Amino acid sequence: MMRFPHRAIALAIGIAAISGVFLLAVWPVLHGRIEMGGDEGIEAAKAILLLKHPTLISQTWNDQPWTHSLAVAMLSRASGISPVLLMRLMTLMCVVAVCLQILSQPGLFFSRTARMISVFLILSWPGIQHLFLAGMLEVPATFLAWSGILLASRSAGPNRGSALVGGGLLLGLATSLKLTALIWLPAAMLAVLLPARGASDSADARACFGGALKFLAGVLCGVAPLLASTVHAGSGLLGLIGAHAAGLSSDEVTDESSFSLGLILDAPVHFLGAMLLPVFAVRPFGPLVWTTYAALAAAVVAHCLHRPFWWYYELHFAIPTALMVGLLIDALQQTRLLRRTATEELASAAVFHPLAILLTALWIGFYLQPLNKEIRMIASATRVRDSGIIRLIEKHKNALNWGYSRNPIYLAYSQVPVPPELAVLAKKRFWAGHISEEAVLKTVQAYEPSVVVVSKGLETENAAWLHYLSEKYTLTAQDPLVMLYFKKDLGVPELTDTKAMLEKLGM
Amino acid sequence: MARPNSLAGHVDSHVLPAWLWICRILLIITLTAKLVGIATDAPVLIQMDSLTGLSNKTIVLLAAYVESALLMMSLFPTLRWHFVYALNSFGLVILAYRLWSFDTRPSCPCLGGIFHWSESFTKYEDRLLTSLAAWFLISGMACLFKPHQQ
Repeated sequence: MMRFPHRAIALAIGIAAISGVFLLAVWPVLHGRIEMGGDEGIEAAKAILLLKHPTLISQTWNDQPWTHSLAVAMLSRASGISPVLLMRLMTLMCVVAVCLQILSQPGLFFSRTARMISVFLILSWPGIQHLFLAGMLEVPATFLAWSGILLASRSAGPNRGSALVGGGLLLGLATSLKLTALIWLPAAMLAVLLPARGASDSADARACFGGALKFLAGVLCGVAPLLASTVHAGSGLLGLIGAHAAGLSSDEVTDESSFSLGLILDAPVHFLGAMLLPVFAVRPFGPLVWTTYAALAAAVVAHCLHRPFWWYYELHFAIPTALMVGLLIDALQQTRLLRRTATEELASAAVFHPLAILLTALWIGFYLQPLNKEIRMIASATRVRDSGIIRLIEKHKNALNWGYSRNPIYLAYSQVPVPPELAVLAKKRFWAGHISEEAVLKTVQAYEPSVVVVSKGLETENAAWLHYLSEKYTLTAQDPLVMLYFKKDLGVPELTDTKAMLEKLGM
Repeated sequence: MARPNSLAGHVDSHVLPAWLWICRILLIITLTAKLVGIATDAPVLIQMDSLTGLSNKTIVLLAAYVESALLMMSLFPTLRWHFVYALNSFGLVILAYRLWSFDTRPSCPCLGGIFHWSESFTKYEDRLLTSLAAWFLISGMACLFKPHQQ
């Protein structure tokens, strides 16, 4: 039988077709949903501030590097695409790239089944699917870091040096996006320093040391954007670290959110795989086994020490444990192939299928319901075109100088900048005593933004806010979550006339 | 007892009995939980099931009846394959019920409310029972369709 001569072309066309269908499926979410993750508004506000008032970013409190915002602002300026859409596309690209890397990188796994199961489990960790479509920092930083670790764990071949530099570069870039990516450095170093799978035990120590140097050189190149953006923002590295560590010791952090090992019960397939891997893994353990354990240990230690533990940090456990389950499947399949005696055959039959059945049953019980909930949540998220608030801001955007909202996503679609001091109103900033509700109001009074979107139950409960708003602003629209105010001198009709205006807008 | 499509040889003599014992133990645990729940008038049993409209107590009683029948069936070697088929059907019904009630939470507390003794574990009751139903179904199916070992 003749081999298909254009296999690579057919594969490329296949991948392009699948990507096209996938993009078409997620496009309505990427382009049309108001908010996919809680911090999207803050990230969008930073990028818009860079687009509109780049010289003012030194006045912004920011606990993360400016690299992501700079990249989004530059790409948005060059392409004309909205910052929110760009952020979401960047996140999705990072996720897809790492999944493809796991599926295709030689030497990572023994079998294709193990690769597919790893990818499947990364994507199906309970409750995080909407993050893969959200313009937040956590997903791109974590996935880029893991892309670097997997690349650096490439064991052999003529391009080992390039892989090490590339792996370091990706990990450095991930750190430039979000500082939490640094927790993966020990695991990455282990991946670099451990002898390659299949290599002799007498691997040259000098070669290992040289490899580590190449990797670290890559990391240093990767963190260059972090340093450059920090200098550009005028905060300096110490200022950035200080902001990042802000509020760690406050009582609210302790009460509000701390890491608990109860997480194991939320994702039992991942953690059962992690616990069983040392029992079944073929000895001596390969570099990836050690690397995933080092990464898991690093994540546990980091989150025990560093608080708060936001729920999306669960992603830090999803990737190493999913890889461990893949490695476990790999190990069991190797054992099955290598079985030589009746006892080994019995052990194989008694372990492989029962374990596969147990993991499948646990997945159905523990993962299917959260997955169903996530899909429904993504599908039913409010559409941009259905939001009267966003449509009204869009209608008047040319007359707007500044805008204020605790959740700036409402302003992001019209690219209305938020005053730099108020662009990042993260909880930890309040916990650290860096800002107070009174200071927020004073800053708003100083800037007198043309549009204010206040949250129900927050600003609307504050008498000083209500007094200020009634004096200077006109209530124009509201939805179950927020109320929209325009400055009186803009002459925007009051809420009573808004119905007619929305009808005019075709809503 | 060997069937054309059953576990055979040494696998038949080791894995199947072990599986039967695991099934029995699991059925004893769930049955005991249900009976204790009914005997102690667990408050959750008074509530109505959101999917079927029946009271939780009725559903728990029905499930306890089926589980005790299954348990007895598993004790007779001559009824072994009937037990496998019955367990498959039971697993399928429970799984369908639990998956169906995804959107009508909360579904029946078929462990008789023992998880309500510890609030932090309450949210795992439904997931655990769904896993158990899936395990009954898949492992039972594996027993039926596992080809001859070479």
